[in-house]
Amino acid sequence: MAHNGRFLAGDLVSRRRLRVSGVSLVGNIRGYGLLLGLLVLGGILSILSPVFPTPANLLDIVVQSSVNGSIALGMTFVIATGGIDLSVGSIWALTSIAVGLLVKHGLPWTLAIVFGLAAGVVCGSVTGLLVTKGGVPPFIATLGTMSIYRGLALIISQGYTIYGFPRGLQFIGSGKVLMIPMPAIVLAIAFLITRFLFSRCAFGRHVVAIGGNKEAARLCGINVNKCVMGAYVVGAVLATVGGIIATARLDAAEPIAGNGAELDAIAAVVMGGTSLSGGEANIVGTLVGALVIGTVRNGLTLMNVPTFYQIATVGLIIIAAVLAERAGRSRQ
Amino acid sequence: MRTKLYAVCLIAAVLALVAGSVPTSSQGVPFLSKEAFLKNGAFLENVPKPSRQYRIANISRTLLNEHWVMNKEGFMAALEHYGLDGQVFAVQSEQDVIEQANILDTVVRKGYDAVVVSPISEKNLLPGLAEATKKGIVIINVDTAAILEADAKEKGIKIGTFIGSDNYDAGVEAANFIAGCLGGKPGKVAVVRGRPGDTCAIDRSSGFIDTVRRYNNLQLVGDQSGMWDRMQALDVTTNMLRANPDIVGIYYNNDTMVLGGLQAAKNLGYRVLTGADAHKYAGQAKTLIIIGNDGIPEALEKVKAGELTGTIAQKPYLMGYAAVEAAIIALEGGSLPKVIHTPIKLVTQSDL
Repeated sequence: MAHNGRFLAGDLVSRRRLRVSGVSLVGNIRGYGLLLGLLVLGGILSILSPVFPTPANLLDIVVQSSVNGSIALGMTFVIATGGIDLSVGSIWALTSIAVGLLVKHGLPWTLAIVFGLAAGVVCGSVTGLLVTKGGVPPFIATLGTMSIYRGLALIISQGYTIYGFPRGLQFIGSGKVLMIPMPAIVLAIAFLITRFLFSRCAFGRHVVAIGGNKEAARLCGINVNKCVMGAYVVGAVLATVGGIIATARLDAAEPIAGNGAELDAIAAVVMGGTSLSGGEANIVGTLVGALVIGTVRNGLTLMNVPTFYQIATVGLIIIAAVLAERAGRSRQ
Repeated sequence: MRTKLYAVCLIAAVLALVAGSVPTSSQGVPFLSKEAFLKNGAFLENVPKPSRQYRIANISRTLLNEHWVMNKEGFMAALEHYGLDGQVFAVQSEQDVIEQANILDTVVRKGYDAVVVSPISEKNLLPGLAEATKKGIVIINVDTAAILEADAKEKGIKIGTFIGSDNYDAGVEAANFIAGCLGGKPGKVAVVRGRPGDTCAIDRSSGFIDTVRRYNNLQLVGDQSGMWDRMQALDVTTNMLRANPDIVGIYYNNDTMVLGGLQAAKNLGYRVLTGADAHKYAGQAKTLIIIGNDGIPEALEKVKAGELTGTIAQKPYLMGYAAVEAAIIALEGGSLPKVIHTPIKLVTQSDL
C-alpha cells in the first residue's frame, strides 16, 4: 500500500489513498527511515570531525552528491519498471561531449544544453526500443548501449577532453544563488519534477504498475511499451542532467567521464528502498540514498581515512541500509 | 505530435554528433611539440634502417586515457617514419586484465615480428609473452607495468628492453619542489593518489611520501585517492581543504586529477602559486602549490597561463616512439640496454 515517499503497484487503483498517505505516521517513519539513518550518521561524523557539521561542508555534500543524485533519480524510474540501465555513465559522457563540442563550435551554451538533452532523449529511446520492441533483457540491452555510447563519445571527441567553457555554463557548476550552490538547486528541481511524476502523474503510477505485474498492467489498459520507453528516456535525460552538472563543475567534458556511475546510482536507488525487482519506487529514498553515499565519502575524507577502508565502508553502509529497510518492511 | 517531437530530438542529436565529429583546433602546446625530443626523426641513437617492412603490434592499456592516446600517436608516428606496418590494440577499461591477455594471444598467433606491451598488471600477460618468446617474437615492455625479472626467468620470457620513466622519481621531484619553495618554512602537504592498488599510483605516491618524511618542516596531512578521476579529485580536494585549510602544497598522481583539484582550489578561493610566486609566497595563508603528473596538453596550457604550478611530464609519445625504435634495433640483431628511461621533468611556467 502507499505510504509517504513510496509508491507501490497497488496505487494504480487507489490514487486517493496516495494523497492522504502523507498524514500516516507509520508511513512517515517507514518512508523516512533512511533519512533518520542519515541524521545518525551525520551526528557521528560531527563528533569525529568538527568540520563536518559546518554549513559550508554540508552544502559541499549536496554538491558532491548532485551528479549521482540526479542520475539515481532517473534510474529510479527504470528500476521501478523492473529494468536496469547500465548505460547512464556512458550517456553522461556522450551527451556532455556533444554539449562541449557544440559550445566549442560557437553555439550558445544554452542551446547546446538543449541539444544535449535531446541527445539524451535519443539515447534513452534507443534503449527503450531495444527493451520493448526488441525484447532484449534490459541488463543486456544497456550493457550493449553502454559500450556503444562510450565508443561514440570517444569517437566524436577523438579521446580528448574538451575544456574552457563560457561563464554561464560554469555558473551551473560553481555559481551560487542566495548562498545555495547551483548543483544543489538543479538537484532539487530534478527531485521535485521526479516526485511530481510519481505522485501526480499517470505515467509514474503506470511505471510502478508495470514493474509490479506487467500483464495486469496491460490488462488495465496501460500502454506498457510506451511507459517503459518513457522510463528509459527519463533515466537518460536525468543522466544527461547529471553529466551537464559534472561538465559545469569541472569546466570540462570528458569522454571517459562517468565510468562506473551506474553502480553508484543503483546503490542510491536500492538504499532508498526501491526494489530491484520493480513494482515500487521511493523517490525520497533515492535522494537520501545519494546523500548518504556522499556523506560517507565526505566524512571519511575529512578524517583522512585511507581509501581502502573508505571503499569497504561505503559497501558496508549500502548493505546495512538495505538490511535495515528489509527488517523494517517485514515488521509491517 | 509525439512523432514530431521525436524527429526533432533525433535531428538535434544527429546534428550534435556531426558537429561534434569535426575536430576542434589543435590541442598541442609548444612544449609537447612532438619533434622536440627527436633528432632527425629518431629518439634512440643508432637505429638501423629496417631491412624489411616489419609488423609490430602494440598491446596498450585503454584508449580512455590521453596518456595512452599519446603513446599510440608516438607509436604510429614511428611506424610511419620507419616505414613499418603495425597496429595498436587496447582494452575497454584498465581493469580488463583477461581481455588484454586474450588480445595478446591473438596477436601472437598472427605473425607479428615484434610486440610492444604495456601490461595492466605485472602478471596478466605472462603466458602470452612466454608463447611469443617461443616463436621468436621481439618483446618490448613499455611504461607500466614492468614485467618482473623473476617472472620472466621462470616462464622463459625474453624481454628486449623496458622503456619508461621512473614513477617513484616523479613523486620525489614533486616533494622536492614543494620543499624548495618553502625553503625551510613549515607547511602541510597532501597527496591525491590514483586508483588504489595501481602500481604506478603506489610508486608515485611512495616517492612523494618518502621524500616528504625526509623534510622536518613538511607534514603530510592528507593521503586520499581520487581514483584517476577528475570529479572525484575535485571532491576529495574540497574535503581535504575543508579539513585542513592551511595545506600549502598538493601533489596529484596524474593530470586528470590535478585539473579537478585546481577547480576545488578555485572554488574555495585559494590562490594557486605559479612561476616565481611559488618561491616568493609559498606557505602563506590561502595559497597553494599544486603539482600534477603526466604533462597532458590541458595541464600544460594551465601551467603556461599561470593557473597551475606545474606538472611532472613523462613522455608517453616518446615511449611509444622509442618502442618502435627499440624493436627495430632488436630485429636487426643489435643489442639493447635492460632499461631505457625516457625523460621526466617538472614543467613549470618558466619552461613554457
